Amino acid sequence: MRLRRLDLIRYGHFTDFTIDFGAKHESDIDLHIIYGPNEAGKSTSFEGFLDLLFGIPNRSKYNFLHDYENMRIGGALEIGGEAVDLIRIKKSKNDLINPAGETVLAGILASGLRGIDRDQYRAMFSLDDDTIEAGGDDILASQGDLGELLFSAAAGLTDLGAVLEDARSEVDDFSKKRARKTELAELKRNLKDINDEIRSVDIPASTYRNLKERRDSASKLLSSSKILRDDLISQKLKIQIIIDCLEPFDTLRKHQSNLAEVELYPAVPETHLTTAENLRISLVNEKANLRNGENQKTIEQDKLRDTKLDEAIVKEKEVLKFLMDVPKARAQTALEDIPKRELELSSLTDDIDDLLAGLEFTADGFEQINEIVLAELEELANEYRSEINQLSNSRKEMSAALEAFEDLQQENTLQDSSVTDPHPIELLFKEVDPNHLLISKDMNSKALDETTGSLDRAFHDLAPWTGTKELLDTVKLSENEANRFASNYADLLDAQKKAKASVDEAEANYNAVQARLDTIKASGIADLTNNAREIKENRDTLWSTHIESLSSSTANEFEQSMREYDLVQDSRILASENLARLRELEAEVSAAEALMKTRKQQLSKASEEFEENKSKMDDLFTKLSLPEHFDPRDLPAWQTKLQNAQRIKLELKDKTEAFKNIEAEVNRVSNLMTGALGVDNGEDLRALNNLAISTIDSLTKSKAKYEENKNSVERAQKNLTGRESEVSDCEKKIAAIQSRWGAITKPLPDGIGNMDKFILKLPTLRQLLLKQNEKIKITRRVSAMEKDRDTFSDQVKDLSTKLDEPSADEPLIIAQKLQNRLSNALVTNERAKGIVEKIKEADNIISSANSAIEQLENKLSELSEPYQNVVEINNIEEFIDAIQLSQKAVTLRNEIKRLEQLILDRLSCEEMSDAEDILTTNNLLELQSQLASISSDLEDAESDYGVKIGDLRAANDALEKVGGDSLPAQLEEKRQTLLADLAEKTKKALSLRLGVMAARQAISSYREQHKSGMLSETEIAFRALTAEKYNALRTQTDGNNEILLAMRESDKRSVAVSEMSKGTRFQLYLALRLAGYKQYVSDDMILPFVADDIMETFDNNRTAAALRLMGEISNTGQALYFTHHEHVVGIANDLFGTKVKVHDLRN
Amino acid sequence: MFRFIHTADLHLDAPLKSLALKDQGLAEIVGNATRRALEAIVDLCIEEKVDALIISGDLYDGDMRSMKTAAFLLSELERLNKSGVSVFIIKGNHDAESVLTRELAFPPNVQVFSGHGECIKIPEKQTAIHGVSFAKPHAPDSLLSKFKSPEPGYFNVGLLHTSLSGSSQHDPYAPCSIADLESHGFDYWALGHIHVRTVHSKSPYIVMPGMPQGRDIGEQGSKSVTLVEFDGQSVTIKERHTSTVEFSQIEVSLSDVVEWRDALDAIKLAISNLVDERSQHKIIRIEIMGSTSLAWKIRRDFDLFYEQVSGIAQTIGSIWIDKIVNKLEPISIEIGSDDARSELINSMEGLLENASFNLRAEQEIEEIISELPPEIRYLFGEDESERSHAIKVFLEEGIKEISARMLSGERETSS
Repeated sequence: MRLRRLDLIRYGHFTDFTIDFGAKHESDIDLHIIYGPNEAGKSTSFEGFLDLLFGIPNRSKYNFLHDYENMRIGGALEIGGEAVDLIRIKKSKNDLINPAGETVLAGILASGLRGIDRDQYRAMFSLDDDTIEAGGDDILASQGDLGELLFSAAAGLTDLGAVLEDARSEVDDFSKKRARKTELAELKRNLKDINDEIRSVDIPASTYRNLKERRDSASKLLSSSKILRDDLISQKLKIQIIIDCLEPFDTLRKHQSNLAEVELYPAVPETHLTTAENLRISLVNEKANLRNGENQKTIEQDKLRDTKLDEAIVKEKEVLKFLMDVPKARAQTALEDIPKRELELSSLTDDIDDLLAGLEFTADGFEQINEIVLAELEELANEYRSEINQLSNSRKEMSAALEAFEDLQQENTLQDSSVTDPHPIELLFKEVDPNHLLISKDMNSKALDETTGSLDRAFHDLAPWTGTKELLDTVKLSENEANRFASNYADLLDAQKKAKASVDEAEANYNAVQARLDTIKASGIADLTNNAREIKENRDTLWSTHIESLSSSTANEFEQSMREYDLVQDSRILASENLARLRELEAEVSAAEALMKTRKQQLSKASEEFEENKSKMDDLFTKLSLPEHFDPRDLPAWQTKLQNAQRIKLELKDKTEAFKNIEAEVNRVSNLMTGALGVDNGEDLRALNNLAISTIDSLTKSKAKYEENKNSVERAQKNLTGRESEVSDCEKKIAAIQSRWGAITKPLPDGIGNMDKFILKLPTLRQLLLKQNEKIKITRRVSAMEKDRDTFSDQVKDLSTKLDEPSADEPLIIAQKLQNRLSNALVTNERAKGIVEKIKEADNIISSANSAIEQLENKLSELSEPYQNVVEINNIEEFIDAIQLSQKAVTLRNEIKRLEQLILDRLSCEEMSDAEDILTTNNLLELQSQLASISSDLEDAESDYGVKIGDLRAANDALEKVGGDSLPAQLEEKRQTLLADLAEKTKKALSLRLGVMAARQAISSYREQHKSGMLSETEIAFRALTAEKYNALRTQTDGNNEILLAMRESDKRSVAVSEMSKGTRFQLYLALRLAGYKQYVSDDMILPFVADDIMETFDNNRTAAALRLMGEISNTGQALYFTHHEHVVGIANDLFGTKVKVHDLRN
Repeated sequence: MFRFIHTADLHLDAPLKSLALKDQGLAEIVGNATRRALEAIVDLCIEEKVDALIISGDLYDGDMRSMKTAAFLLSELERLNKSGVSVFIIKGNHDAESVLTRELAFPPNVQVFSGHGECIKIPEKQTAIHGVSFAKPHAPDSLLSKFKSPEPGYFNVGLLHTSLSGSSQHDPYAPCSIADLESHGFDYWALGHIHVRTVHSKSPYIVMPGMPQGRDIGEQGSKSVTLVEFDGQSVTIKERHTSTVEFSQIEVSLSDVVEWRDALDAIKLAISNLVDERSQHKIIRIEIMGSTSLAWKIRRDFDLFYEQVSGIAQTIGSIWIDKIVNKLEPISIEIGSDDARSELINSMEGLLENASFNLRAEQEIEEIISELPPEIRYLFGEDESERSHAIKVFLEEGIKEISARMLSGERETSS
């Protein structure tokens, strides 16, 4: 199969783009360089080619411009020597169509592809940088194994070595001899762990049975141990009871002997003892009360005798209380304060004297001054001072204003009267506008230049016109004329052409009909008729002969001749149709001949008319100065241009005129301005204009300044008037202040002075006023205190005399002594009152105690009645003793009864006599020794019993532990899963192991099959690609494998693939692939080989070598080389010249 | 009115066998499914307030030795005892073999029939239960003769563990024919032994209830027990599902599927069709078949494919993959194709019949098989002819595997 043309109809970014590889010619190579920069669509083109062959995938990435429905990729493929136009559309079925849109069976491609699928095609018949790199790496992975190398190259694989290596190591990972860390070993370990765990947690039936037996035997042992133990316990109990009874028996006997002593004491109620005790306590208490009462009375009577009372001072109690309150406090304060205040007074008097001296005042008259007067004077003095300042300032400002006014007045008189009159240039500017004039001139000049240029262009456009610009006006051709000439010429030309075509058609028709006629004539219809006649005669003759002889031979001959005749007759019937056709054709030929003649005549007439018109045209062209070869159909266009040129020429004339007028106006204005400005002639208008503008500008400025000065003089005058009135106001205010001052100070001492001095003295005056006031306040206070002191002293003296108190001391001390005496007297009075009360209380106690004692003693004799005949009772203590002995007798009787019952119960006896027999015959020591021996036996029995109980419990526990939990079952399930997994993995590993074996075997067979052919091809290619650095390949047997080695030219050494550089391995891979391709195509099978910029890392020499190999491929196959390197195109052109076809994707 | 649940072949604590259980999560969820089934049966008895539970043999596997299994059985029977449900049990071939049976002391509601055949009457229900146990693991002769005649005026139920109409010479499991059973005069034959539910006859009822929980892919579908109701006149039966996990096998054709994603979609559709409400969990085996250009790619990137299918199954429901059996074939290469690939594959396939290569292969795999635990060695051929067949199968598989790896082009990465 060969790709003749690839149509990227609607695919990727392409729309209706075609790469035409053309048909292959015998002598040509079939190498195509498809050149385009990156992103030009090289890979799109290759994918498109694959899509054309194998269909557009369900999810294509080339639908970004044209959606799936519109995607189209087409081309022309040569299959089995015939070119087929095919188009692939995006559809799940019937996606291959022909240009007419009819479905084409996919089988048409299958035969060309020989069952190779898309991936395989890509692998076997395409190469790019990545595959070369991967291929180079795989060479290394294969360790030079020739079989792998040859097969990889032929099948277009780049990772065969790695695949086989990985598979093998996968198998080894699962299981390898003598390796411990394989997956299999790991799984087996897991399995063992689970088995162990099951064993440890599970209880099989046999174990269960053992457990049951153990439980039963433990149960039996336990019951026999229990019997033994219980027996010992009962023995021990018996002895223990007797021992326990010995002690109470002893006590019983003691009680019986004690009872004999108190047998006679009557039984009295139990409460008697408590009553007696209470009686005794009451008696003791009452006797103690009596004693206390008597003692207290004696003590209090003694105290009363010793107490002395002071009634005199108690009578003056209220007088003394008043005196000791406020009067005493004031007297005390006065005593302390008077000396301090007198000191203060003397110091104040000194200060006042000093201040008066400072003010040059005499002490008289000073009283007239007070704070109000001072404040008024202070205000006046301050006011006066501020007015004096104001006056001085106003006077200063007034003189400054006067000065300013005089200065300005003087300045304004200097102004020139010239500023008021207008300048001549100002007057002139009202009439003319030189600026506008200058702009107009510039514009006109530019327009003139442009029009001149337009005319040149229009003139140039008139080519091939031969006239001059001057003649332009003289040429006359209207638009209608031009159109007429042109259409006339075109009609005639067309008529002539059509006539020629008609003649050709008629000729062709004639020839065709004639040819058909000749064919029929050549079939020899006429001969057939003659021949038929002969055969008929022959048949008749044979019939006659047969009639005569009637033999089988004559019959056969006749039959034969009959058949021949029938045949001829059939032919004749057929020929008669042809004869009719012959006649028809002869008629058609003569008709065609006549038509042909007519057409030829029409043609010559048309030609004549055309020629006639042509000469007319020639005359017109001479008139218009156009050359003879000018096509009249171009006349309308030329006429438009002519008209344009003539219009521009007129326009130019107008513009020239206008420009001249402006120039004249410029000269006139210049002269006027020269005069007005008073400058020399010769300046141009622009300079004059500038001078005039600056002159007018300076005039305007002078006028503005004059106006400003005038305003300033007016303002100064106003200011001066204002200042003068201010001065006079101030002076008036000062006079008023002075007269007020005189009025106030008149009655005051002279020392006050004027206003300025007053201000200075004012602080001293204020201080003086303050001190004076203070002195008056203190003097008043001292006299009040002296009065308080004296009053108090008099009163104290009176009281002391009345109470016979010595009065030599200070009044305050005397008062204090009186106070103390009163306090003591009051205390003594209170005490005496208390003692009398207590004597009364003691008398009461004594009488109540005596009556209680009497009652108690009566009660005692009443209670002692029952003991009359038993014992003599004299006092409460003897009574209590008697009661206690009665109670003892009762207690002993009860205790004896209780003990007898206890012993009877314990010994299980009915009568006390039986019990006494037992207790008197058994000895305690003997009993204790028996008990010790039984206890020891019992201890052993108990411990044995405990062990047996434990045994039974353990046996029961073990049995009960066999619960229904599912752990063993779960583990079993896990074990089964693990086994299944193990089996599965083993199957996989075994398969893979055998697969690898089979692959190696098959690869080695492949090597044997293809070694001879491919190795020499590879050698040639490799030599070329390495620029003969390696000049031969050879192999070396290594066990079952054969290893590829390359002969290095430089050191004549055989080099293994592992020793080659990366680049060299790429070249070896490329060489192998090219050899693989040749191997394939040599078997009568061509598929385009597609390479995509595989020479990225190659220098120019190697690129050339690679291209040469591609060229060689294309001798038998077809090679497409995609590149974005222009130099590769150049090298290809150098190598193959025009034989190589370069397709530029940019077009 | 007499109502009972009829079941058989519980095979208590027999492990589920599936590679899906490699998933620890699943193993925890569906582990001990046979126990769950018994629990479900007991629950059903209590819920339905039936009079009796009838177990027609094979409570556990013959080689089951764990008393924990027995203890679990007892605890469940005790539950029935408390609810007043009687239990009638005959021993099947597995039970006869089992050591557990001998050690058990059943609660008072349980009646285990002897090998001699007995009849237990329940006069208040007008019902007679007849049963004959397997005395030994094998019973080459019909046990029918050991059954007494039907009790007149009673509803007669017969418990029999049998492989039914197998040839008596070859089938050691109490063979008998349906016709024999029909003519015996009982009203309901409660059979056991065959794991698939079949109602053989309706007059009288002859019911093989199937097992209540399947254990591997060979025991597919939802499993059940039979609820039987005798109202004094007629008998009605209903099927009640008991399996918590169900095994299924599906076939998915990937013929003409070109893209990986489409293959997954086809499988997704097939799995979706499986979803129903009967069992909580499904373990499925998927057989992919047909001829597709994806064959090699799926084979090579099978681990990825498996993961993705598992993911799909789990998103659809509680569905787990036991295994994906790959029977895909690559699009056939035209005969006479002469490219290197075809040549290599043909050459490898030629080795299948190559005696010396087969000998080498045998030596090669012997090494691994000898290392396997004895429990699974049988899977790799127990005698010479089985072994050589196994080698052929592995070699065939291996050739496909290695071809896939060498020739399948770009690796699948997308999902």
